[in-house]
Amino acid sequence: MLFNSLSYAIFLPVVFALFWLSPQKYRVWILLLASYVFYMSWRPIFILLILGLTVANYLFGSLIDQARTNTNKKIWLALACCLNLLTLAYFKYAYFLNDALNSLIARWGMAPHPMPFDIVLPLGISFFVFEFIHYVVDIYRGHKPIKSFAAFALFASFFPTQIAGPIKRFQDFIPQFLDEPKLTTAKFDWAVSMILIGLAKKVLIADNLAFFAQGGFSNPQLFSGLDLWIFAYAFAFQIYFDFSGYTDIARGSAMLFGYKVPVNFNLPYLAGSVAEFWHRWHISLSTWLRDYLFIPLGGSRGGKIANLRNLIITMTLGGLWHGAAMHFLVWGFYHGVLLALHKVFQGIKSRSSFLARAIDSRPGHLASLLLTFHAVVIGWVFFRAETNSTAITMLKRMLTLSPTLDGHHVVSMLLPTINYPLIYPTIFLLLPLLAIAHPLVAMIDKTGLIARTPRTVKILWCTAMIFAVVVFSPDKSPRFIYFQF
Amino acid sequence: MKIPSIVKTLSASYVVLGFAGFCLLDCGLRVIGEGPLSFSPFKTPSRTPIYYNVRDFDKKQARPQIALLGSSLMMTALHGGDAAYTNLSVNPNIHHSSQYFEKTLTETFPPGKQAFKTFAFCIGGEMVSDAFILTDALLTGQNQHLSQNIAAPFKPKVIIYGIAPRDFMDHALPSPAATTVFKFVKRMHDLSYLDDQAYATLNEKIEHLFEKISFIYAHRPDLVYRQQALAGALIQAIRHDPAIEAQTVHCPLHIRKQAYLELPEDTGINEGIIEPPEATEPFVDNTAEYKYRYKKYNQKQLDSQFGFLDRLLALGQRQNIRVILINMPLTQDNISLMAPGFYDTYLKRVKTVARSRNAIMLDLNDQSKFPKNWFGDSAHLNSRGGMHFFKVLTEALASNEITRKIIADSIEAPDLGKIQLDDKPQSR
Repeated sequence: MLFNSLSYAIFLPVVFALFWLSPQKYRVWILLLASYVFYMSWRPIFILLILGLTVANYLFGSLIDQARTNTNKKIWLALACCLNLLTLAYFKYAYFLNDALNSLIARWGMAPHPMPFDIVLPLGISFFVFEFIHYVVDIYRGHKPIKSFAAFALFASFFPTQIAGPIKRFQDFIPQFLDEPKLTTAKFDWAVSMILIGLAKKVLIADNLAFFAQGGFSNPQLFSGLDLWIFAYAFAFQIYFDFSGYTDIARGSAMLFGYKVPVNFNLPYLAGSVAEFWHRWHISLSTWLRDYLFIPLGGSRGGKIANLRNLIITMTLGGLWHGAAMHFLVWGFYHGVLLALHKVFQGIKSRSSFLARAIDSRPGHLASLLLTFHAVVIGWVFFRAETNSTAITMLKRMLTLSPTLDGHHVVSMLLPTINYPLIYPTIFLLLPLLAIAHPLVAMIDKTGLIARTPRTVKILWCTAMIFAVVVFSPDKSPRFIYFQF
Repeated sequence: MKIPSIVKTLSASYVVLGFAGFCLLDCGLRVIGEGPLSFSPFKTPSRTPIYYNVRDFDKKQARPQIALLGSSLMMTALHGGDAAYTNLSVNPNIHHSSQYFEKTLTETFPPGKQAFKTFAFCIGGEMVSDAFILTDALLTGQNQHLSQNIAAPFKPKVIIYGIAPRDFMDHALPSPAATTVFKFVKRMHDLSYLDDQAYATLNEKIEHLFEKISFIYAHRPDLVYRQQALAGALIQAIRHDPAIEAQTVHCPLHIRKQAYLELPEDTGINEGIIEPPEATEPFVDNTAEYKYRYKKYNQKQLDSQFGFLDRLLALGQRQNIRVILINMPLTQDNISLMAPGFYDTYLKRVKTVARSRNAIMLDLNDQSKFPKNWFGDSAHLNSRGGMHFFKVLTEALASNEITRKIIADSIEAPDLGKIQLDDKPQSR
């Protein structure tokens, strides 16, 4: 069931009504049941997977908590992590590992072994497995386990965040069950507004940019370097509006039941460095990677080289988490290297007051923004391209501003000559508007304009948003990008 | 009675008032109606082949005696055949008759009268349900959206309908409502009497329910058309582009293909031109496509589509339109992709339905007449094969006593002015 589908438009109000019209003691169960129905709407059989992992992790949590010695705690933790990671590896990385193995044995002249059976990737597995790992690790670190099985099961399967996050922390989520959730008018208005904004981001912007980007990324050899930059910019905005749109709907849906889930985006393209970008982009994942990968690897302890190594390892594995393909691995590695370079640069900056002044000045800050944005866009080429060789072809053309097109010299870009579908001629208008939107939203946030907006304007805005979403939702909307992870 | 607190909470919400505003707008637009808003089925954001067919059918001055129906098998034979016959490029978006078939008919059947005229509603992917709704909506002379029907009601004397197993069972199409023909025709003809059969999946049923409830939801294509017109005007104001004004498409094919993956099909008037054949015509292996189409034996879909065939023949009987079914030629390779025994069952069932409705079925799937060299792939005839098909068809029509009379009568009888309009929609 997609958030931008008609079935969700019916499912959500039905669950909302059932939840609030029922006595408090039944509400967790209603949400739990709804979450399982939501999950089963795709492939019912996978309910066994999520249920099985829930039971196992609940038990592991208790066992870690009750273990008397640290060694026993460690054993239970290791078993829990193995179970979660092996499940993820089986469903997500079996093909990848098999291909890697085949290419290795092919070097020795042996015949490759195709996978003997098909493996279907269960929706949301990367997200709920990370939540389970967070749970058992935090119990090991001394946090108290969740007593109620229903609450724990709901934490893992809560339908607004089930498929693509944000990745929740049980310490934030569970106390909300203990206090009786209250629905206020302000919360309701905020929740539905978030859902409308999320849907608009998805159907009005991301979906339109999707097939524009698809056109370029599937045939990069046919476009000039300048054209490919436009495609890469388009994808940068597509993935932002797609994923942040999804997150907005998830947060809005959760708030309809009185629950807060973590913020995942904070105007990421306004970041002045790659480190800041990761504080603004997919925040729940980057903090998870910090807490459960970077710190256990040693974090900043153990000297400069170890710190840089840990950054690169963390981001490379983070890249692989996105998908079992080499181009995701390269994307993660690229970000790891960027973060390491940034760390080195920070060291140099701290020793040079001239450099610090130059960078902290207004033009310096603007240059940092542009540089960071373009570094991220280059990373997106690896992320979006289906193979590394496609990404390298694109980047070669982009970085040399290659004017050749299938061996012919072109004096101008190909894009302005494409007149249809309309997204092609409108892209030169749309991309600058999207770029302006970022600082504009930051300014609106800062001035608190929304809080001071008259009620009548809010009502009209709401009517207009519903109208736009109803009219412009396509019959076959592409899935949210992060659903595949 | 105690009002639940949730009701109190929601009653103060600006979102609820915003939704109420949307409902009010919806009701207001419903009251205004389609006319003053100048919505028209021809003002559509996605122009598929059926759009061009119906648009040109409406404009057509000469009244064809024979309507041709069928899916891509008939379509490729017709356009390819004419490209081979005329040795000129054929644009399927504006070419809606078979010149070669008209010629062979005029030469074969008693001369001295007027020349035969055909009009083709042969659309790629056309199911039997599509053939039925096209006949019901456009060929009975009763559609209020067609200017010619208002001026002078028109219906053909004969329908020649080329059928093949795929038209009855296609894994790629979940329901009758999923085709472009259905989606276009429902905007110009009340198809609510097919609600029970047309919508198969839960999503389709929900969507149809929303269309019934909300005027805005039902008119999304009209509103998207408006938005596109505005966007087009904006682009024109910034940078004038004659191609946008003329609604022609100058977009590399690879981009169009990518767009089709994400967007509803939208064909420019200048796209899909069929060139005259080269000395040797290539053979394309499309078995993967047909393997997918024949993938699952769907008894429900098969029964439903045979039901539509029966309705089509019954409609023809009532409207005094003679329907001749043509079993289209296929390669043995294609037939072997079907479930064992399916082809024979299909053929037997077609014959039974035709017999029960006093219709004629001519079986042209004869491999001695259509060896593999007449085919462009496992299912579709190539351009010369298309010409050959209409030659064989004309011979078959002439050699059968009943069809000979039907075709001869179609040209002898006056085709205007004496048409009885006593067949009302309820008699469907």
